[in-house]
Amino acid sequence: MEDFDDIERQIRTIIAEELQADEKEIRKDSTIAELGGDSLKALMLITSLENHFNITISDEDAMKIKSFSAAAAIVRKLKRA
Amino acid sequence: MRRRVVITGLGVLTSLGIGKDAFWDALVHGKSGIRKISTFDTSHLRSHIAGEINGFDPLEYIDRKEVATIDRVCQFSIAASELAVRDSRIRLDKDAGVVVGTGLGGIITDDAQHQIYHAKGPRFVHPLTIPMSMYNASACHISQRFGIKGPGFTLSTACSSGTHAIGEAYRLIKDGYADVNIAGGSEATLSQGIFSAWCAMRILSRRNDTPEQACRPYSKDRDGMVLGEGAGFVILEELSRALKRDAPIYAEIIGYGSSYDASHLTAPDVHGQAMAIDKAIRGAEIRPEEVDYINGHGTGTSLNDKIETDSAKMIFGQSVYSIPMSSIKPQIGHTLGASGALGLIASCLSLRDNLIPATINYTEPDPECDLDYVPNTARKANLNIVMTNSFGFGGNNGVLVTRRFTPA
Repeated sequence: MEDFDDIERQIRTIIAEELQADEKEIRKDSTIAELGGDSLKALMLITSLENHFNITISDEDAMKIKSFSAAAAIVRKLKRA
Repeated sequence: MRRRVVITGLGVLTSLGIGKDAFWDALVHGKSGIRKISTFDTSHLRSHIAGEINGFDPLEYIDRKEVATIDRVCQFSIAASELAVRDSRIRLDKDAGVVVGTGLGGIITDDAQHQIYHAKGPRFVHPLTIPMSMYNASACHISQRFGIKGPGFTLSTACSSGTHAIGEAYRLIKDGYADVNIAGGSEATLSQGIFSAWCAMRILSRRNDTPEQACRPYSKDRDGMVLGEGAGFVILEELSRALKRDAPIYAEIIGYGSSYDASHLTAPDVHGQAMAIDKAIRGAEIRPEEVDYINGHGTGTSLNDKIETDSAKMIFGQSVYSIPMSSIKPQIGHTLGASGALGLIASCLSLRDNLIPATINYTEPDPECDLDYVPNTARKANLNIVMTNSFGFGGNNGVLVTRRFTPA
């Protein structure tokens, strides 16, 4: 079992909810597509991340959110900013 | 004997102008009706621009006692159908039909009443919310206004609604169910709540500082669509009837194709689009290369413009490179359920004047969109057959083929 830090655990919960995926299936290298997501599910995920972490994700960053690790990296970057 | 269907009246409401002459003049001169939104605060939203119809006074078309109980989309429908009737100089009787397309119906009323419900409570909700916002309100008002009792209905196929409405009305006449129809599309979605929803989809252009240059269909630097308000209605008539009354004939509808992508809720699909084009061309009994110009769907989103280019290539083969295709959306915005009807009206005026409106704001060629998009300047051309594309959310595709009218 991989170690998830606090932010990653929150993101994992959000992804599980938006993609209707099992949290246990979500790895750091999981892609949105592998978890059953398409462009619309990704859009819902991005909106949830924005609201949960109180951040604004630009279109450029939003385009990059194709995996768990990409989502985590962008959330961290914006939380630091 | 095959019944022929001609277009004998045009009614237009857009941010570029009201009436076909104002619309066409601004269109071929490359003007844009896109501005900063004036009717509600957008400061907290991602997009601040749209094609609002600012010069519209409903009292020019609707009695003062009635106007407050008619949603804006329905006001547009009444006005545009009235303009089409006047343009056609037709005297309608009860046997005429009416077919209306709208993507979201009276959604401004919906949005406003939801806000009132949450702010003030249920006792303050307008008692006519349902008949004001129902999708068929436009067709209902048009039928009342002109005493039309013939066949008719309302359909909603997102951004192809107007095309499907005109296509189905064409079939009603061609197949003998009516001799005259009023048909078209209407859309008014610019309210704060609904606009927020469009913003959340991240498909609107972010060029808020340069509204007139924001929407850039087929150009490599395109960054999304711009919304617009609008309505387009036409009078369709069986040919012998139109000739008998010496009606102005803009064009003959010779083909109509309708298809579903059956693939995705919002993303377009090349095969679904190609199927609609193929059906329209087969129905028209022409060869693909006989099409002289395509009034494209061209929304300015990355995916739409590429897929539209690909579906054209699939049907037209190598001849696609010699068929100009332009989009009027950078000038009027994406008018959703009205866009196909307005595209068809532009196609009629193209045929009348042998003039192709440009795709304005075209700045940079895209290797994935490599057709002749008539960049930035309207073009004279000998036009005989013109095709109009509409591809909507839900994978709804509608294509109309029109020909310059000749009696033979």
